[in-house]
Amino acid sequence: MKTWALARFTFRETIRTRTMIAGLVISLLYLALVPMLSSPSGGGAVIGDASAKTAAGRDFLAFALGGLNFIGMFMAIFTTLGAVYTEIERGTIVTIISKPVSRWQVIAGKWAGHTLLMGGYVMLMGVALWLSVAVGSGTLVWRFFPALLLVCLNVITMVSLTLAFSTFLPVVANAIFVFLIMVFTSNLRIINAIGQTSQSIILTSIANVFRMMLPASEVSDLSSVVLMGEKRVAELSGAEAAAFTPRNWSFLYEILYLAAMVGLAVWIFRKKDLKSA
Amino acid sequence: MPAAIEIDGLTKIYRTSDGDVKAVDSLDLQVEEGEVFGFLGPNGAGKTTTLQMLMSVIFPTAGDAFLLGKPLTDQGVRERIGFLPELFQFHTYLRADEFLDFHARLYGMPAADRDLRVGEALDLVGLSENRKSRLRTFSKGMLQRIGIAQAIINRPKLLFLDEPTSALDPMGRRDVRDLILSLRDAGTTVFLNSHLLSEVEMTCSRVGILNDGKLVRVSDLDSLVEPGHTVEVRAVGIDDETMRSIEELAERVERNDGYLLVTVKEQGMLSELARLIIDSGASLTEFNPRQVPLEEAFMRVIAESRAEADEPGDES
Repeated sequence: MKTWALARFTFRETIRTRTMIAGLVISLLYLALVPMLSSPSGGGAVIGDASAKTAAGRDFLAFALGGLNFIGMFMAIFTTLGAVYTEIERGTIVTIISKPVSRWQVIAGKWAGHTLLMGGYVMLMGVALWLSVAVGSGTLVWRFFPALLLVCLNVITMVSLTLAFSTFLPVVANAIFVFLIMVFTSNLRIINAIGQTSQSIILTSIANVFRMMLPASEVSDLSSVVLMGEKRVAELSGAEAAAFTPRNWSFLYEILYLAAMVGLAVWIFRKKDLKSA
Repeated sequence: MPAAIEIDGLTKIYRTSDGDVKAVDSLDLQVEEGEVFGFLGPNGAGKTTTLQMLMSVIFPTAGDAFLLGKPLTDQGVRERIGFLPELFQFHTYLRADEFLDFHARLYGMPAADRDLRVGEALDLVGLSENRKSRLRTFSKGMLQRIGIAQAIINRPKLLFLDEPTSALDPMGRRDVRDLILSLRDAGTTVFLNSHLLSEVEMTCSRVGILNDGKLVRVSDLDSLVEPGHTVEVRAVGIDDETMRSIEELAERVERNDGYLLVTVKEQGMLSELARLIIDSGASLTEFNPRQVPLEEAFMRVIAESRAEADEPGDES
């Protein structure tokens, strides 16, 4: 009950932040603009052909889901950056901690609040995208939903990573660290591709080890594979992407990864003096 | 019956680039149930650090403390404790009742109790009419009151108040004072950290004075503000000879308009002084021992502790 009270409180507090409101405005614009960037009907060339229509619908949803993954991850980072540190700095954590609440419950409550908010956001946006295809072209792409769940997992992972860092890093430092990790792991495919082209075991090994630092990029690729199939992904992405095939178990690793991040947050928070500098 | 607060060698050391800073140094203290205890000290003495350790906001470097007989690590005991921190910060987008409901939830109260307790706490701090107002519309004094309300929403057995009247006007101060006294009458132990010595004087039965992280005095308020060795004497017909005798007996005599302010070395000399005046044939109309106010006593204790600390050979 106490954890739920904290989760509910975090949800309410976060949903009214300027960051969240700005994110929601961007999301609405995205929903309005994405059909113009990639037509769900395949540009009208596949009218009357049901399987081609479904394929075009999948391509559109994969494109839109990629965008949602990107926006969702950014929103998750920005809304969670100060989750713990700012509360310590402002001193609002003091009255919470002095209540009969364990420190792990504070972290669990914050994590649950942010996760519910961002998870709910991704699911709502995903359903809106799916409906736009279902209504617009009459195709029901059921494979979209497991792919959407993977995007949801990615967003929750970013919440967990940012929350863990917010237990000891101020907002700006947290943003720098999280974005550095995100950008670095997103671009490992380039290092891998160079390694494969130059047949450098060192480069490919580096790429494969460091992709474990944050599995979001790999799980994002996996969601595309789930939605469109490996063959279509390879066709659309070219040799570079094909050189870094997502592993099927990467989502399981990501679940462990996010659990580890929440565990790390609890571990740090339990030992921390909650006194603002 | 265990003491409401039992502190044993509580120490907090901050490691800084300039070396270790002892914010609280081997603090030993016991506060009995039902007491209103005043915790005094100059800025930076370690009062808030002590409270933060007792509330598990920060961890002690050494020592132990027990609240209502349970160690600080016992989470269950906090269900019977209330706390108003200094410079209390609020989630100001909440309404007063939402804010209190959230804190009641943290105490694990069921819905029916929460509603009752929110109303009760708002009544006690005089904010019933502002139940549905957002905290951002509250004045500083009202915020202080709602802070007190969250501290008493669980009807605590032990209440910690860190500067509870700092933002209040004289009427608000009186209300808080009355509230503290009514809580005491209901059996609540109150640990009051305040700079306002007049407030402490009017509410506390015992005080502890902290200086440079060390507890330098724990005393009943009555013995701290004990009658001094100074009396205000009003008498008619004191002749020169009697005056000389008074000056010989006294440490200091101050002639004021219509009265004398006489300071003697020992309490016992006051009766001798009175006899001397009466025996001289003068008409003694007033003989009022002057009480040392808490402020003066506080300053004296702090000065003594500083002098002790400065004494050569004190450092080992």
